[in-house]
Amino acid sequence: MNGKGKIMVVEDNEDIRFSVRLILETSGFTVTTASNGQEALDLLREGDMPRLILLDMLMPIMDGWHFAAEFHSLYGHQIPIVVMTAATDAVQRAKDVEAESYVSKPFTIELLLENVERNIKAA
Amino acid sequence: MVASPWGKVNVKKRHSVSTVAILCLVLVATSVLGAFGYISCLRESEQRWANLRGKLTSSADQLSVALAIPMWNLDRVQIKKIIESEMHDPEVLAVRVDDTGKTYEGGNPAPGNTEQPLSEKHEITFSGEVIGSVEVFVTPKLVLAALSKSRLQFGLLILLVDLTLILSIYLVLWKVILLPLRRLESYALAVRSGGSETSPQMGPTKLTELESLRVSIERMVALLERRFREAKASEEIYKTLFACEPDSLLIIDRDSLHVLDANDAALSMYGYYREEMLERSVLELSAEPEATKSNVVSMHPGNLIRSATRKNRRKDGSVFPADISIRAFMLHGRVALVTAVRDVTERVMAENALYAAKENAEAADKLKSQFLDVAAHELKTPLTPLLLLLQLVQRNGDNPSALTPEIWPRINRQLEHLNGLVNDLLEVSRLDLGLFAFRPQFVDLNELVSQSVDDFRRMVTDRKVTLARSIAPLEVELDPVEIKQVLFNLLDNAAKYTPPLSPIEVAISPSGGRRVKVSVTDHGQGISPQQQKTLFTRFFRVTSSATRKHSGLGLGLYVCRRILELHRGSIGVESDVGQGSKFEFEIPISRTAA
Repeated sequence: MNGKGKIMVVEDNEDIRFSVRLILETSGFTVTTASNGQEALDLLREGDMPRLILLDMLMPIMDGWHFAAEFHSLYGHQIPIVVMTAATDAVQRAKDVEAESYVSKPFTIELLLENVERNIKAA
Repeated sequence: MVASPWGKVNVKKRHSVSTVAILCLVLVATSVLGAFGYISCLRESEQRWANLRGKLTSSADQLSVALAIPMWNLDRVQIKKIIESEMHDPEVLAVRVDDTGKTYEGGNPAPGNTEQPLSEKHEITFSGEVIGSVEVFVTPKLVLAALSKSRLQFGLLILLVDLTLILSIYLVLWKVILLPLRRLESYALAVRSGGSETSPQMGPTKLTELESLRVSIERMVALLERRFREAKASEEIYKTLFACEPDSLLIIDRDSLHVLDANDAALSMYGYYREEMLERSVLELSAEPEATKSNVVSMHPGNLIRSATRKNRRKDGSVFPADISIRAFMLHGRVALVTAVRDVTERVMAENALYAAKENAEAADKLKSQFLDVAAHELKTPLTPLLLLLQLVQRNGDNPSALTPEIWPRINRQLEHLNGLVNDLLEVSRLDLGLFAFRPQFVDLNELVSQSVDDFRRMVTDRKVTLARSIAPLEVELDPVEIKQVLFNLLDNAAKYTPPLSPIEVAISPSGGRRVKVSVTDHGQGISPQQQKTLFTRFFRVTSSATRKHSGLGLGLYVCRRILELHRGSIGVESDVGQGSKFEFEIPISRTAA
């Protein structure tokens, strides 16, 4: 296992997925990606447990709310979820899904990394 | 009709004051004079009877003295002479002298007259010896004649006095009372017959009582005339007001609830003729009779109901809202209600329209807020990768990594997405602000539709789009750029809401009245009837922003509707949830034929 640990990115926008993966890998994380909640649950079921999940809210097939609920009921709160949201009230979004943290879209590389590092340490 | 204060004088049953007064005075005068005459006659009669008796006695005395000597001497001649001389007196009826067995008579003591003669018998004495007797008979005829003569005189006198009295009293009454009274009467009659301006002047009288009566009557008449004129003026004013009042006015009897009077406005408002309206129950004019009844029955004179809005019913049964004001007053001893009714249909409609407009404005405002929220969210969606991708390029600025060539197309794609969103927004602004450059021209519709379908097939490869044409090549007057936009929006929507490889069918067919229609049918999730209602309004999207799975600003169908409106066409949808949707638009072949 790579030094900094694995992060799962659940995001329907392919360009965001690409960018975030690039950023995190450059910073020494291992990254798995899913384009919706269902894909992410499938990956987790295969035993591919990350140290942190970056979660988009609005996705086809299974959205962030559904995924978070499923995830929490299956695996509890050991793994922190960081919500990536474009909503005006990002704090409320994070609370809705009992996420540990959030990043408001659009965000910078620095903001993303800072948030991820802090939440991994805290976990 | 109001009874005249003078009423109708019943002449037959009543008697003239003058007749009564004269009769009374004549009766009094006659009885006084009659009593006086009766007493005088009685006295005269007593006196005359006494005179007659006195005369009889003295005659008998004189005869008895005068006859004593001749009888003693048996001088028959002398006796007869004395008797005859006595008979000259007209009152002496007969003289009978008895001379011891021998009777001398003069005249007839019983001449067959009804009057009983008076008689007196005296003994004739001579030297203390009764030698005979003398009996004198006198008749009361003369006395009676004299008495009846004097009675006749008295009667005539009384008659004369009575006549004089009647005449003089009548003259006095006529002059002093009857004439002024006649004048008063004719004056009163003149006033009664319509208050003529030139009332007959009553001349002044000489009696103070009558004068003051005249003055007070003149004052009363003047007062009455003024009152009458005022009442007439006020009646005219109210009549005019009642007739000219634009609001409907009804006079209603509180207890029977019948209409007693109605002005023209009320008749035309309710649609009744006057005869139909009068005596109709006011409940027939109300669409809420119970409420009307309960409002009205407890009203007392002076009570007021101001501006209650009630539903009213016309003769034809139609119902309209009206403001009603009611005031109770006394009319001929009953409680009446004057009711003003104002049709407020327009106001209520305006209020409703205003309320609807307010609701619409509020809904539009809410929709706009939602749209802003969605728009901001949608604009952030390309901005997020753009920002990250640009930062990545920037970081590797001096030392382009192997990944840089992969980053540029991504930046391009996101910029195009952003550009598309901004263009959508501009499109709506353009349509709404009327900055739209509408350029219709005759274009073959078949060609246009198949071009659009081809373009779409190239862009979206994972959907199967089929085209069915049921018309020959047809030139239609339209703006090709805009109609292509409509087709693209419809196809894009169909693709958005259908699973991959699900067929999308496009069809062109003629429509009635030189129109043509184009439909786009999908087999996607469908649209609920409720959502169909707002589908073509601005900022609508099938799913709310929170659970939305598809990007876009929700402006496409609104833009389609506006474009088709410019073409004098229309757009509609048929859809069942789970079965798919069919969007169909229709445009006239030529705008001039539309």
